[in-house]
Amino acid sequence: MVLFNRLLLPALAAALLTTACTEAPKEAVRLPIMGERDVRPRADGGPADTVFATVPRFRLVDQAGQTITNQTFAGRAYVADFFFATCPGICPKMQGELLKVYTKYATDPRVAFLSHTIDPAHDSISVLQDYAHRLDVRDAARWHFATTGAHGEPTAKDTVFQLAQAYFTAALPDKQAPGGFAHNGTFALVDDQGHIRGLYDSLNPKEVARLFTELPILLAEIDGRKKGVAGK
Amino acid sequence: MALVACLAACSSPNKPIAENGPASPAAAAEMALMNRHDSLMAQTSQLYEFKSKLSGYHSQATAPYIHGLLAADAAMMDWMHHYKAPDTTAAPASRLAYFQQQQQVLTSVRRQYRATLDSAIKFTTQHPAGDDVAPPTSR
Repeated sequence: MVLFNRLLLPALAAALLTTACTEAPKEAVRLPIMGERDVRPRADGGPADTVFATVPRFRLVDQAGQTITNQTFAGRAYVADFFFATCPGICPKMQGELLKVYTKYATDPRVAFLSHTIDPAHDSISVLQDYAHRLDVRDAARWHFATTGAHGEPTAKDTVFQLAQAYFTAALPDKQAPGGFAHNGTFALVDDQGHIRGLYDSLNPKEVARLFTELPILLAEIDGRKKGVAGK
Repeated sequence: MALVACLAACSSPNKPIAENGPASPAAAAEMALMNRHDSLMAQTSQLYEFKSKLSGYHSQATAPYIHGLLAADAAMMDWMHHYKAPDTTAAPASRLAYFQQQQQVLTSVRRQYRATLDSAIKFTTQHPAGDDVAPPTSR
């Protein structure tokens, strides 16, 4: 009995501990869902639902003349930014950084890219097409350069600025929102359900590196969701 | 592809001069110009925020303010559409002169931004709710 206590019990405890440690269900790393959330009580008295902010509804036209909406990105992650074709300042640097991400995921159908022009009066479909070609982006379905003013809408610029503001205020509580959203070089990472999962300063190499690190995490989560749906 | 390579390789205009080596006067002037441009563009969001806010008053009294905001935006976009950075092979003196001249234009645009934003801020502060504004016919 003494021998059991001295030798076997610690061994048993160690074995149990090891098993417990190795077999505990692994918590997958997940990116936070950014922005405001609303807790809504359920009518049936069950646990309240948490409703997270999503990007606003939009209807745009891309460089191929195709209409794109939130539904275009359903089931996929996408990276969004705001630019304009004649921008001599941060835009070339910003789009250069996004191009690196695009190049890595150019053939991955799980990821898309969406660049909104904030100069819809100048950036017509043909200007956007030319801009995409100069970046060597040939497939508009992979990287959309989109406008709110394809049909000469008089409020096109108001719309895109409201969209930019909504994107980033959806992601940041008011007190943190820095303003100047449409031209601060930020990339927004959006998940398959329209939630913003990350904001990245394109002018900071560490932030771009973080996007490279976090995009696969989001894709794994989306893959898991799809498998879950398929398995039901 | 040349543009792709250029985009990927070009150094940030926001980098400190020391990181890119000592800047020539023309390069420093170009950097200052781009910084001014980026700073103004960041404020363009504000122009549209105030335009949206003022439009919500549904009053003719806001028309001059909205017109001012749009004129400031138009001045900025006009600069942008006509800006053409001289080729790097151009004479340094002529590059410097171009950037300095463009800086003057942007200084004027910045003044216009500031004035119109200040007016809009003042108006919305004085009339925090849209229904406070008397219609022009009652004046």
